[in-house]
Amino acid sequence: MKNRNFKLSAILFMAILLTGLTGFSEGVQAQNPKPVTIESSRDFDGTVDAIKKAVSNGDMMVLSELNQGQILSMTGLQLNAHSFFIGNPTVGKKAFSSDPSAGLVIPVRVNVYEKNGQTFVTYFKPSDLFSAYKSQQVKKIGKKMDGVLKMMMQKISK
Amino acid sequence: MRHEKIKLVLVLITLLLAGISPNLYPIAQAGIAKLSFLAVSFLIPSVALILLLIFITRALKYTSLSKQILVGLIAGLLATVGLEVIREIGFRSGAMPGDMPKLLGVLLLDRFAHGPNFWSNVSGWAYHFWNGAAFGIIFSLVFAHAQRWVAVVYGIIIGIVFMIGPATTTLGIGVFGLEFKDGYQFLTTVTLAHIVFGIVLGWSFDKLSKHESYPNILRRLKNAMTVSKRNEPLN
Repeated sequence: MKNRNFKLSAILFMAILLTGLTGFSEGVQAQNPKPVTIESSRDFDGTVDAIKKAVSNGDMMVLSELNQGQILSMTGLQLNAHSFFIGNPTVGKKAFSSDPSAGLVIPVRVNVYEKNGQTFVTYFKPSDLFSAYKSQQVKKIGKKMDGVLKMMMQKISK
Repeated sequence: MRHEKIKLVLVLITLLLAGISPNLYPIAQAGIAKLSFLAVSFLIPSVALILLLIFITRALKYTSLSKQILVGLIAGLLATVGLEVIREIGFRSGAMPGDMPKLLGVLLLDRFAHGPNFWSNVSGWAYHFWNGAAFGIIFSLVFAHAQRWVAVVYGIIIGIVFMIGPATTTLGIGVFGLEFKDGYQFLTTVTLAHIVFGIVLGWSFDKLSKHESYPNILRRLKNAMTVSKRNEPLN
């Protein structure tokens, strides 16, 4: 009798565990995206300016910026690094209407940094990140953003 | 004779106002409100009211009280110079995780994402020095006429409270900064800086007082109560 109770408890426990694991991953699936890195033909400041212009030319907006280098100067670390958050209201409205949890990947983040005197631009391919969503609309936006970022990078790459 | 009571009330208001500034940064770091909002809503009004109180006490001919507040304020500013010397050396030698006045500045002007600039640095330094001045005013009104070592203990207590609060833990270095580097650098720098703060505070308060005996809060309380008893009807 005791043994039977134990078996029942174990089965119940496994069932709860599996339900929890699958339940939490309902909308988003695990991915392993790799960053795209491009060497810029300009210096750091020139690249930052070029990205702003390219974003505008791509019918997108810089929604927010993080001057990582300047922020980290408060810790005594000296480096050039800048993050952009890129998107536009139309893309945002479509994505969020389709899946309100899209804020995890929207706006798209683009990072500029300097290493050994060279400036690099790096980002995760939006389609890779957005493919984690079940929504076809979100996936479609991801592919569109791929094109926008590719066009931008062509303007600043070597 | 009711002057003693008025003076006591003015002292209590000044203490209340002086206590606002040092609490704002921990409150902001605790996630209760943004420092930029707290600065506009509480810091600037408290600074303005303290300065106004200095003029009011002077206008009421409470010259001694007016001087007492002013001496505390200046002693606090001088003590912050001492603290800053140690803090800056500590920061430049890597014993501090960040440049505190610069951090205060970006939070005050709500420009963390852009990092510090000239005006945020000015704001941050001004806020840090005003905190020192506020602690000076509190010391002057509460511990006036105390031995100099009391100022050192006072400084150490300020340092300890700083190190156990959200102002330190939100920097990601744990209570007392024990998770930063080998665990002793932050603790040593902050403690040393606040010991220097206390030494300079006690010394400058003494020098600026020019041997004038300012009453502390307890004596003011006794004076006010004695006056009350004397004025009570006999029946």
